[in-house]
Amino acid sequence: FTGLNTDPTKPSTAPPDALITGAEKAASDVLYNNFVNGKIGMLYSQYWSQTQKESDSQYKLDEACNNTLWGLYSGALSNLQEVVRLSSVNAAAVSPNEAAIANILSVWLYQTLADVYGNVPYHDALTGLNNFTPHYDSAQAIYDSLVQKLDAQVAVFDTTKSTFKTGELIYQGNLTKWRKLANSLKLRIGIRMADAAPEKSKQVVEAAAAAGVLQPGDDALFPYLATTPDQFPFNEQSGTGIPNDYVMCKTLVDFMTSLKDPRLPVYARPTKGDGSYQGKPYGLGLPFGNDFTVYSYPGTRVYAPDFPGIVCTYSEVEFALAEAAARGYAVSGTAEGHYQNAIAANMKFWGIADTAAQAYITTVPYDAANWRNSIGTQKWLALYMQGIQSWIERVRLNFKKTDGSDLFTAPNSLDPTVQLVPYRLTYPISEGNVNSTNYHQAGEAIGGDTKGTKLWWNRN
Amino acid sequence: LFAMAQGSPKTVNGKLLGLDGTPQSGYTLQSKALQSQATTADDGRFSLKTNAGDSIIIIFQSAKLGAFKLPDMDNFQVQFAEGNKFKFTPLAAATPAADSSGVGKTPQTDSLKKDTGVVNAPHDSTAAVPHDSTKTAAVPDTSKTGDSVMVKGTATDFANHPIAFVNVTYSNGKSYTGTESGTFSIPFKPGETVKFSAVGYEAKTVVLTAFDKPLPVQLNSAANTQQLQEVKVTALGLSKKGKAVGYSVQEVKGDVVQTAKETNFVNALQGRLSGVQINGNSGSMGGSTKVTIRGNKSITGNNNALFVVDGIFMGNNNPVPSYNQQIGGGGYDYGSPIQDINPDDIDQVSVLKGAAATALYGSRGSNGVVLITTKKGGGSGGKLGITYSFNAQMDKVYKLPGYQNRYGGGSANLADPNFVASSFDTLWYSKNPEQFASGQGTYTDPVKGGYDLMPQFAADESWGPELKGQVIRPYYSFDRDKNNPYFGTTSKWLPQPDNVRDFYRTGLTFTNSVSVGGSSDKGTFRLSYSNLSQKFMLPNANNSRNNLGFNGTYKVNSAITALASANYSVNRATGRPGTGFSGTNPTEVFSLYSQRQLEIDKLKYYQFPDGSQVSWNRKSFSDPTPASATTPYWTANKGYESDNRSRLFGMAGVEVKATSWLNLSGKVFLDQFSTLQEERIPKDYQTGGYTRTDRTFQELNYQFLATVRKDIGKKFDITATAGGNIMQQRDEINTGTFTGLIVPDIYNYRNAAGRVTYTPYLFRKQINSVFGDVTIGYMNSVYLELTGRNDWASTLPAGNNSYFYPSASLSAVFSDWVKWKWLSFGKFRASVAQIGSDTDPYRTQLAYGIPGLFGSNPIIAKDPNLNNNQLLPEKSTEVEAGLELKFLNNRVGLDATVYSRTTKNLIVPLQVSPTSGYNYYFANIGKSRSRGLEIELTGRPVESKNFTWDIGVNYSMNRSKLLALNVPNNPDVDRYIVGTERRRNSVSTAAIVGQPLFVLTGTDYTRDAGGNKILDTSGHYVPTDATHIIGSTQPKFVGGVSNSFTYKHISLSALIDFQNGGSFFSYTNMYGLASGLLDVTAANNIRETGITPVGVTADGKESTKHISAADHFKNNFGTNVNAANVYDASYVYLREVRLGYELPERWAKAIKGRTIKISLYGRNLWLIHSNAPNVDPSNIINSDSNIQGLEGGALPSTRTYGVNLNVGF
Repeated sequence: FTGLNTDPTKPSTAPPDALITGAEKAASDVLYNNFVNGKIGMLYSQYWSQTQKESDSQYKLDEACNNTLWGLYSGALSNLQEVVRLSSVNAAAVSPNEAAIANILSVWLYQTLADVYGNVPYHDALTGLNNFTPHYDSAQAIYDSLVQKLDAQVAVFDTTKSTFKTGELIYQGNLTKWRKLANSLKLRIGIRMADAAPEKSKQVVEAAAAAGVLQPGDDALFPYLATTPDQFPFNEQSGTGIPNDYVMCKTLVDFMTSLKDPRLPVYARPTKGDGSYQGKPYGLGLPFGNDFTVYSYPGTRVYAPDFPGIVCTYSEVEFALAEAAARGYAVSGTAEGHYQNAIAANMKFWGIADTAAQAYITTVPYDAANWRNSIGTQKWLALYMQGIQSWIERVRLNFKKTDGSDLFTAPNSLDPTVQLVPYRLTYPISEGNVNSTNYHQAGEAIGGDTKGTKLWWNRN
Repeated sequence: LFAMAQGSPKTVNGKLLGLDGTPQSGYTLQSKALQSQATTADDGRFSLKTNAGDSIIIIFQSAKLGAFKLPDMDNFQVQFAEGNKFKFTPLAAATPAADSSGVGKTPQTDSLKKDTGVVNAPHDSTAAVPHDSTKTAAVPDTSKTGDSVMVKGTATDFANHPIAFVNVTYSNGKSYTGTESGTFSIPFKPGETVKFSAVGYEAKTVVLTAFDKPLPVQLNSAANTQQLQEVKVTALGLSKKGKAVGYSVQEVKGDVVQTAKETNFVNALQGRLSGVQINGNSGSMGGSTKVTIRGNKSITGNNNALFVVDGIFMGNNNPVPSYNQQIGGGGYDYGSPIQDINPDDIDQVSVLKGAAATALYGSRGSNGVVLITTKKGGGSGGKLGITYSFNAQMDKVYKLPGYQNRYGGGSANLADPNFVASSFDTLWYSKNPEQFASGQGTYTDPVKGGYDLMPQFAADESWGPELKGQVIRPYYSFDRDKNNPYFGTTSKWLPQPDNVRDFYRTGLTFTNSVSVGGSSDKGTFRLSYSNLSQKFMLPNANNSRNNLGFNGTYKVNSAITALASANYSVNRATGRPGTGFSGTNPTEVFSLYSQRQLEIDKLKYYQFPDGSQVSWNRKSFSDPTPASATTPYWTANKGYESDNRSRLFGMAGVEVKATSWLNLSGKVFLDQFSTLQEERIPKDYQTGGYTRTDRTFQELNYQFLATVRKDIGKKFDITATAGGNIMQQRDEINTGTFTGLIVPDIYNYRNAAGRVTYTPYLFRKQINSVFGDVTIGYMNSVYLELTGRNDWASTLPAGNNSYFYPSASLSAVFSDWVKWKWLSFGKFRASVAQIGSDTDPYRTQLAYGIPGLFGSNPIIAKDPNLNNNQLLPEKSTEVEAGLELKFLNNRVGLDATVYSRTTKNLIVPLQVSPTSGYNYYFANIGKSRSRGLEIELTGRPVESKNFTWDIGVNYSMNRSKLLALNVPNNPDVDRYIVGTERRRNSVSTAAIVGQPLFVLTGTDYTRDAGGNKILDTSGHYVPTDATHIIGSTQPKFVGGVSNSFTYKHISLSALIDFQNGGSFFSYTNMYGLASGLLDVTAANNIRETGITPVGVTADGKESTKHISAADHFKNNFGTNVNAANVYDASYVYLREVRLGYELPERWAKAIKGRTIKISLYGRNLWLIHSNAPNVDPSNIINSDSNIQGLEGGALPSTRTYGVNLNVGF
């Protein structure tokens, strides 16, 4: 019977290249599909507004979004873990370099989970039969562990040993670039705890910056392809044409218009009506009439099938260094220099000519006395399409326009615990069913499982 | 002494010949005058003392068969002739009598002289055969066949209605079958005791005494008798005396599914069987039917009854296990493949409910077995029996949601607390003159000039302006560049109360069936053909089915009989409705989201001359692209699905009667089908897409049985069966799907703009089994049956894959012992049984997922479902007890059963936290228990020669409960989630320790200590988290009441079925309210007045927050508080009414037929009572899976009227 009960459609072994391709795609697919990037990230960042059925932008969380994001565990993270496990079982078949790359990617995802939810399963996670109900670790402790994990991976890298070949699609297994990405993720971790743990933050950021972070041309991107089914998860070439779910948010369009930001024609399309750029007020439950005529759709580039899944960019690194410098951390360069590099790099990313970029930079000069708003607004403009990262930065920096007036508007919130913006997502309902004790403990530990609970790094 | 004798005694020598001229031995000839006797020898010769002119009586085994007048010959041959006559010929000298005669060896060739003596048959024959010579005209003539004398007759029931296919068994085991019209023609063997039996009737033995008279046989119906010889078909098709059955078996005659036809015959059983719950989703449009016997026991995917047709296990799962479809996420319900059976072939349906009844089927029968016996043979006496039936029926949409007809399309403004209705948009001539055909618009503004009013096309809700006849520009009045004939036209903003009803056309189904059957003592055969042609109620939706069936038996010799059957069916359907939350489901586009004012006639204009879609849900006046909804006529005509299934099932085998007490049989059973399913998304504003699924399913069973029947002494008899079975199953499903068509309207893989993604699925399984069954009878009234079965299943890990399970059952007919006058019959039965179950293949070994691609890079991922190499078989133990009582001369009957079943080591794909790295773990967990009561009551309040009234009531209650979960390493897990509805991801069907199977979980109202609902400051109810129990899918009880009246040749019957309790979560109500489509959203001027939701604020004070109706219906119902859209599934339904008339025989004769019966019927006639608004609670399932209680936009139920004509030749 043994042969009869062996599934002939499924392999019993897997080469690491095939595992890493799947893990990178799975991670990017989760973070950039409509449920996570669309209905959470791009809305909570007030980049986009919903057309009709505005309940997501009014913070009634669609559990499908939640389940999708939580699916990182049994999807991408589990497969990254498998690379690490195979390496520990047989280092000849899966090199330590490959395991280290897998670990670095897992840091990216764990930090995202810890930033979105707070305490999440970490040490007990991904142990299969040993523990189907993992404990939720403190988000702060996870941060500490992630930093250690990154340091450990960089130390493992050994150019004399083999690495991924064709299957690793972000850097083709290039250890130098992976080292820089590891340090950049460390920089992201460090800067995010700047308000909550200033000493630790300073130490982590300075170490990361010194060790070498992403440089121009080093953007960590998952390269989606133009043909189905390998396209960017939310694009206008698969399915029904231009997605109808979103139009541009008035918050973004008005701000960019006021700054004469050259990226606006990339970020948005002109309206069908008069050809101007118009955004819809955010999350008010307004009558939905001629939304598709009077408001701008997101731009063709961001709905392109080969738009990349962004892991981390040089531009973001420069914004982090700018903030580090502004906070007085010992990083090379000035806050202003990093700030200008960040904007220029982002303009380049979006295909804006250097002259236009430089002209723009002069109109939005760095303001050291007002660095939080200065860096905050420009970082927000630069993080377009990275909805989750942008939402977290919005919450953390709690910036306003550089003139001190409110940038973001309050929606008609359908969640009584949230007025302006959710500080986190509630844990998936399914955890209440399948991991009940830890789910309830975690909710208590962070001060209540609501979207209004401030996470540990949020001191604003 | 013999002075009265007419002449002097003489001895005559003769020879007795049968009709066919063969010598007849062992007959006694007796001289009437002399009383002398002689017995015919092997060669038929006799020598008898007679008087001249004497009459000679022929006696066989004490029965007088006839008499003849002695011919004027001393040596003669006497031969039986037709018409109770005898033929005489001189006896040839060459053939001397073997003994007793020393004379007459000289042939008397010269005086050949025919003589005919006619003597009536004796009138003093045995009492067993009543005579009524006046009736002979109504009975077919006796006839002659190749080798024997035949006797003809008619089998009737108490009301003198013919009994179809009566079975006649001779003492040597040979059997014959009557015709559908009740007549039979069987070989005449003088003095033979033959048994007449028919399903549902008490068997009766008759001694054959005369062949020249029609033999009327009247059988009493089983329900009306002591069941002394009633035969029950039990597991493996073994026939058992009704008395000997120690567990509940309920039977239904085939006519139930033949007259009032359902496309899937299973639906016609609804309400007729106790302990059996049948749920559907618009069966007449090809949807699934779920048959649950004695409630849910397992928390895995399958609680469906097993269907076995003449020993053939019938695959009945849906072709592709689409989880998304089951949870109401869209897709198609391809219906239950059991509907491949031609209802006209069905003779009887037996339902084996408990573990003891199904023990011999092993694991596969653990959810109960529906055993179908098909018709065999037919015709008789060398004559073919031919039947023809014609059925025509009409389907009309019945239960539709109650819509509001006061407001049209438009979206709500939730920012405005005083919102009543949205307004029209304005199209200014000055800004868009190209959008006007002539003039400058309907309206004029003194400043801005002419304009038209436009509805909010892109809004697929009905919170728009009041429908008062305003002149507007409808969605179809733009697109001049597409040569739109309606460009520039206006329309009036008016209610369209019947637009949804008018979308559904009248369905029509025609079925023609013909069968030919024959039987002789050499064997039987039956050949049938049926064609069903159906026009679904949806536009462009059709279904057809052709069934060809054959079965036959052939007696190779007196010991060996060969059997074979083959059935072939082809099903083709196009345009099945989509289900659940998807645009292919008409309910979604009419009842979940829509604009109420849509004109159905204009919706039919779904395509512009250039082939692009005309969408009512266009993005704007200048952009014809659909915003959300696809126009239903576009879906029906361009984006339709199609599927077909061809199926072959049959068996071949031999039965050997090795000795008088030992029977052996060996059989092979085959069920095989191939399906093709194609789903299309047209290329238009969309890129299009195509999904094709090919499936080949095959199951083979090789079965060997040995049966021993023996009497031991005078008091005991024993029947024992031992057997073995090898089951092999192979199911191969290949799905290919792609997005993006190169050119429109071509659907194949070459037309893919991108890469096709293929998903293979190959399912192989084998179970080897041995089993045995011993029944010991005592005094013909107490029976003990013991069974045992051992299975070896390929799906379980080595070491755990062999499992044995026994059963014991006892029946005692105590009325044989306690002779109470009021009690006609009393039987007690009790049983205890165990059943072991295996699982699906490939759950024991670790493997990666199916490989895939990204660009040119291979992808392999871990399988997120964790397998388990320690799986054990599931074990169920059931205790059952029952009582059968008949009172008042069998006029009232009661059959009651109680049972309790415990199942442990349930094999489930346990949903685990994804944080463990897996989504599911295959585990043996838990313990569940089902307890219940089943009652069947029968009564005949009126019984007379011409009129009878029968009542049948069945009632059953079942309580299934999860007792424990015992998840390994995780003792605090208390629930198993079977499925979660797709759109909100909030409401789940769940098994929770200590709760019924299954409960619904989701968000409930938050209440204060006093039970008041708590409202937040914006007037919205505060929901709890989603782990609360908000309903149970388990009904309190289900049942049915049937009444039938028979007056002469007219019969009238009515069936009411009911369910009490059970609840479901309703998308139709939740979204229908949120979208402002349902009547309550516009009742009592609620839009104008708004509403103050009742409840208290967080500080305990009564909430006074006043909100708009739109806000209330969008935010205070299921989208927030799931419990607000959970409804009671109780119903009382007039399910069926049938009126039948059997035409006078002379009419039948006029077309050379025997019988003509015509019936009128209606099904799903009247939902008499329901507590659930807007849906038909008996018609809400998405599929036949365990994921129940989630109504995902169910289709409207259908009401059916039909006529059935049945002609027998």
